[in-house]
Amino acid sequence: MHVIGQNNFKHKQGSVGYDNRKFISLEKEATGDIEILSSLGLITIDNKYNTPDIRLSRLGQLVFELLDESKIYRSMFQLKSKLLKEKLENVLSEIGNKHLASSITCINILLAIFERITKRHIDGNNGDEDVVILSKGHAAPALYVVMKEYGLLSHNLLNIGKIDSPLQTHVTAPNRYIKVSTGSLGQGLSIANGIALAAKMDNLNIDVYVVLGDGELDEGQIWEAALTSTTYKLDNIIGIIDRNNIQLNGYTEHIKRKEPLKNKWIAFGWHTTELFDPDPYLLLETIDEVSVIKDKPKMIIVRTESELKR
Amino acid sequence: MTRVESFRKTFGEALLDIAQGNRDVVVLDADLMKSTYTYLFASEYPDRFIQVGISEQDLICTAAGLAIAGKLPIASSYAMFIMRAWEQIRNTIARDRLNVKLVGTHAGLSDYLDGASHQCIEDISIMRVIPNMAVTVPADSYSLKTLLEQGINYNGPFYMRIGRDYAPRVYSGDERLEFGKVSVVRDGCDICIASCGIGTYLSMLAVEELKKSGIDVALIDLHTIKPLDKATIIKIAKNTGRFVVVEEHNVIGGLAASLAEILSEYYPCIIKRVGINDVFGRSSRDYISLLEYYGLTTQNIIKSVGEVINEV
Repeated sequence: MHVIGQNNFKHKQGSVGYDNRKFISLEKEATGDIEILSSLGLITIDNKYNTPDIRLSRLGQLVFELLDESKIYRSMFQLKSKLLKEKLENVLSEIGNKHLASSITCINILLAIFERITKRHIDGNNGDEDVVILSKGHAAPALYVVMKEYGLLSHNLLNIGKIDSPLQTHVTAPNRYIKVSTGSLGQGLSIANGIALAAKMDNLNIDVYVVLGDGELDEGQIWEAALTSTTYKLDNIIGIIDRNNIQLNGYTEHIKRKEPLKNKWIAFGWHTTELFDPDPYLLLETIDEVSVIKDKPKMIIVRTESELKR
Repeated sequence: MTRVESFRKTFGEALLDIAQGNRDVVVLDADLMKSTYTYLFASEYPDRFIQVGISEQDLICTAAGLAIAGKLPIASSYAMFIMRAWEQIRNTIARDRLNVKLVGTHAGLSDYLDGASHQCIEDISIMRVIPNMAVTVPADSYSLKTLLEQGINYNGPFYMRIGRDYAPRVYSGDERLEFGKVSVVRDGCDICIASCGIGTYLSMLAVEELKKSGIDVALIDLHTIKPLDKATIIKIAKNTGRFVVVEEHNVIGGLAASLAEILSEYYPCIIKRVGINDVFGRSSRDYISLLEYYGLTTQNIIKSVGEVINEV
């Protein structure tokens, strides 16, 4: 059987639904196939009119949704995020729920990054390896959980913080995918700049991801580094701000004002995108989109649910 | 007549030699390249020179990133302003044992006219307490070049402290200086003067004078403050039994303290300190007057030696 209308279901960015009428009309010559589909209960045919009105049945809709690869991918990705958050909660309970919010809100960010790294690696990227820097090093548990998911960490996550465990509560190098230790805030972007500069010198095709906390933006060094990135046109840097609106002692806007955040990054010469409560798939798509932009470093501000009480 | 050279100029020129032999060398600056003489490197190797502007924290961590990516970054600024990024040095460079070389120029009182805000008298102390960090203080241009070359080949965080200009020659250039080893400038058995940086030249003059009075003084140049050459220091202590330490640094926490830490544990003996007596610097129209103001003089070293010999 020729696969009807498969093209209609090829992934289109941002589109999740489809017009089933259009779908059927495109394929109306294929009467033999229609009979098969009808006998399987995937479509309904109403012969009241001159031209038969052919529609997808409920079952048909489900089947075709499943054929929509991007949609399956997206659902699986969402499921993965949910499962990882549960795992993370177990890990965090081992250390008294230290920095819980900060870890939870950056799960999706790290998930998108490691998914992209894995994909790029499979697709072949000249063997050059992307670099992830978790500048908000207190979210180490989230990093460990995501890395474990991708088979990049072998340690037992539940041993985090135990005196004989290599899993420190703040990110500690070295590991092939953890290039630098963090924990003291505000230093990740400068480090990313250094790696990005070296990659430019060596003509390496890598992306350097740096995950920043919103509270962390209080550190002046972030803004020193932001200008170094633009001065050197470091378009191999993809910054992601976990804008969860919480820092250690309260809401970010009470402690030190960050808004208007997007305008600040734009003013500093960054290509800046803002996402509102994105699922990891949208994040992945956005990273893909911005990664090709030339001559500017890229910042993605990820606003998450917990930002409501400003 | 002693040849007087310039620390910073020697540093700038040494970078050119080093860069020639090593393509991974990258030099970073925080808008002081004309003062530190790294502009020589910048004009010769513009593609390997990174200017971060007046932002020392960014300077240090950018260097860290370059080292992570396999480059050999050399970051320099005034010693005082490198200290501004102490926490970055401690938490990123030293903690991960990154192969970053830091060169602090204008150290001690050598930036005489700029005054206390620019004169760094604490760096030996606060750099040497960082795990993994090597600390060197060359006495002259030969020592600077030699130690810098060795520091480049040493795999790990490395801090070198140098003065601005005034660098009278201590070494002829034939001596074998080794990073991590005490350099014995002169043997002697009555007392030992231990020094670093400009202190070594001042001490050399003192040794000559003391010789005339029949006092047999040993002089050791402790150009590597960390890792400290424990074995040699203990050996010399057993020979001489007493020390005068000369450093262009606060008497707290620097070279004298390094020596005291070792000797109080292995061979307790008197250590008399000649240095800046826990006060800030000040402006002066010339360097020598400023050294005199704070007692960093040959006369004061001779006096201190006399005091120790008479007391003990």
